[in-house]
Amino acid sequence: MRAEGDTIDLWFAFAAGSDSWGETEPPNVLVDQASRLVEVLCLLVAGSWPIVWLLASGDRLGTRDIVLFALLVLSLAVLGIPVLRGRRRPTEPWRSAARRTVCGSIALACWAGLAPDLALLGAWPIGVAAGADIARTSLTLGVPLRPGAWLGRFLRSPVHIGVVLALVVGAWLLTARSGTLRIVLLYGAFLLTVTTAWLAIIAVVHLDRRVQIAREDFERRVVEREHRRRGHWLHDDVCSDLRSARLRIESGSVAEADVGGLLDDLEHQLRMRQLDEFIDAGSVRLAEIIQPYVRRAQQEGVTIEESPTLDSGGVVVAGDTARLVQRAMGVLVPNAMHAGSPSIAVRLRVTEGTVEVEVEDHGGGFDLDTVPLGRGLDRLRDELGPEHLRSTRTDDGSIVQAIIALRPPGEPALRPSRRRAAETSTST
Amino acid sequence: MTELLLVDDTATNAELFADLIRDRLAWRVTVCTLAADVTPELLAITDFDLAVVDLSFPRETLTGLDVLLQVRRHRPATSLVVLTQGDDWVADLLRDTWEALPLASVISKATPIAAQLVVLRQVEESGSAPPDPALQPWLPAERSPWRSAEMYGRLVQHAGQAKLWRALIDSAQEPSYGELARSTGLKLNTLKNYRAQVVNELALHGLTDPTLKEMHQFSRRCRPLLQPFIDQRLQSADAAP
Repeated sequence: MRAEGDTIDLWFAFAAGSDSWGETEPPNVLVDQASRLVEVLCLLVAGSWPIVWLLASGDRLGTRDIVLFALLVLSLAVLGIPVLRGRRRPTEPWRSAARRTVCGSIALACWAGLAPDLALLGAWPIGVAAGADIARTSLTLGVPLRPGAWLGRFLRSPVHIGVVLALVVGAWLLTARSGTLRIVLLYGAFLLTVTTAWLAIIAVVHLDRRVQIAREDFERRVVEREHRRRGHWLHDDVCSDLRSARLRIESGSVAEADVGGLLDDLEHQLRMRQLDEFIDAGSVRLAEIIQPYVRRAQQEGVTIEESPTLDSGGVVVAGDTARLVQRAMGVLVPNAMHAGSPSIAVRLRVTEGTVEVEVEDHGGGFDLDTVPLGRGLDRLRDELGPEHLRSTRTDDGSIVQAIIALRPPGEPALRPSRRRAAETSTST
Repeated sequence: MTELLLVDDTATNAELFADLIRDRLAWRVTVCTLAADVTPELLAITDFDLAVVDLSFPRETLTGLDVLLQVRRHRPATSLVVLTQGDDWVADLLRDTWEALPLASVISKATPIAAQLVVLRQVEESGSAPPDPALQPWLPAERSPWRSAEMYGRLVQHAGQAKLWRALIDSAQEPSYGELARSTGLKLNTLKNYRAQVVNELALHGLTDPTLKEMHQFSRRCRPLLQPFIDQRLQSADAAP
C-alpha cells in the first residue's frame, strides 16, 4: 500500500535525519554509533581540506576566504554536533529538515567557493558523511535501501540531469578556460561525492546485516543453553522434590492429613527458586519479592491484614537490593508466623534512597536486643547494620522494620573499597 | 440458585474447582475452557450472577479481558471476578483490567481454596470483596478515572489514529515507522504527527513519551479496550462520502 506523494515523503524523512525518528530504539546500536563517528570524522576532514590545501600551496588567505571558512565551520558544527551527541529528545522533522538543508547548502557552497580547482576532488569525505547519514536514517525508519538500483536511478533522475545541463550551459557561456575547467572539476567532485555516498551506504547496510546475523546467532545459542538449563532444572530440582515428597508419603512419615501441607511446602520452594531466577535476571519489582512470603503466610492460615499497593510494589530494584529485601521478608514473616500471630500486615515504603520493609504481627511482642545470636533476626541485623533494623512493641505484638539502601537497576554498585569508605563516612 | 460462569483454560483445574463450588456453595457452575466459547449466545441462555475469569489464555489470541468485556456487554449486572496466578507475566494486564472495569474482586489461584470460596460468597452477598492481598501489590491504591474502558476512546480520535493503532496491534514485533507507513498507507510524517497527538493521553496510562516498542506492547495488551473504538472510527471513515 503506497500513499500519494510518498517519494516526497521519503525525501523529507531523509532530509530530517535519523534523530527525528527517535521514538524507535536504534535497531543496531553498534552500527548506529559507528556511522555517527564516521560521519563526524568525515565532516572534520572535509571542513579542513580547503584551508589545508590553500595553506599548503602557499596562498595568502584573503578576507573572502576567511569569511567563507568561518561560515563553513559554523554550518558544519550545526550539522555535526547533534550527530555526535546522539539521540536525546527526538526533534520535529520539519525543523530538523530545515536546519540540515540550509546548513548543508551553505556548507557546500562555502566549500565549493573556498576550494581551489584541483582541491575540489577532495570532496569524497562529504559523500561518505552523507552516505553514513542516509544509511543510518534508513535503518531507523525501517525503509530498505537498494544501493545498486539507487545509483542507476539517481544518474537517470531529474536532479542529476538538471545538474549536468546547468554545467553544460555554464561551460558554453564561459569563454575563459579556467572557468570551463572549474565547471568540469565541480561535476567531477559531484560525481565523486555521489559515488562515495553510494559506497558508504553499501558498507553501512552490509555491516548492519553482518552484525544482525551475528547477534541472532548469539541469541539463538543463549536461548538454546537456557532451554537446556531449564530442562536440567526441571529434572534435577522439581522432579527430585516431587520424588522426595512421594517417598515421604509412601514411607508413612507424613500423615494423610499433612499431605496438603507437604504440597504447600513444595510449592513454596518452587516459588522461591523462581524468585531467585528473577533476581538473577538483574532487576525485579518489589511485588515479585514479597508475593511468595505473603502466599506462604496465607497457606499457613495467617490473615494478611494489609498488603502494599502498586505505588510501592511496582518499584523496580537492582539485584543486590532485591536480595536484601528477600532476606528481610524471609526473616520477618516467618518470625511473625512462629510467634503464633493469627494475622500480619506487610508494608513497603520507598523513599529517595531506601526501601523500608515493615511487618506488624500480633504474636505477643519481643525485644530485639534479646534475640538469639546467630539466628534469623540477629544475622539480618548484622547484614543490614544495627541502625537499619528496628522493632517497636505494640499492645499485642511487634512492628519490625528493615531499612535497605535502594539501588535502581542500571545504577552501578559501589566497589568494595568505595563501599567501605562510604560506610566509614556514614558512621562518623 | 446462584449461577456462576467459570472461564479457565486449564480444563482439569477448572472442573475440579467447579465441583468444589457446586459441593460447598451449592451453586450452578458453567465451565468454559476457551475464551472464544464465551459467546453472546451462551450469555443469552443463562443470567449469570458471577463470572470468574482467568486472565491468560496463551493458546488463544483472546485474553481474559476479552471475556470480561463480552460478559459486561451482554450481562452488565453480572459481577466480574478475575482469577489469576498473578505473577509478573500478567501484572500489567491485571492492572489494566482492574482500572478499566468495575471488578468485584481479584482472587489468586495460589490462595487456599477455602479463602477463595469465602471471597466468592462475599461477592455474591455484597457485590464485592477486597482483592487478594497477594495480588494487591499489582493494583493501584485508587482506580484512575482516565483508565476506564470508555476512556480508551480518547486514544482513537479519528480514522488516522485508528489506522496507527491497528497497525501497531497487527505487528508481530516492534514496528518501525517504515513498516507502519507500508501497512497503513500513511506518510511517515503523518504517522509521527498521529503519535504526537496521543502522547499526552498515553501519559494518563503510565507511558511517558513512549517509544514505538512501548506503544506496540500497550496496543497488544489493551487491544480489547481499543478495538471497539478503532472499528467505529474506521467504519465511519469508510461510510463517509
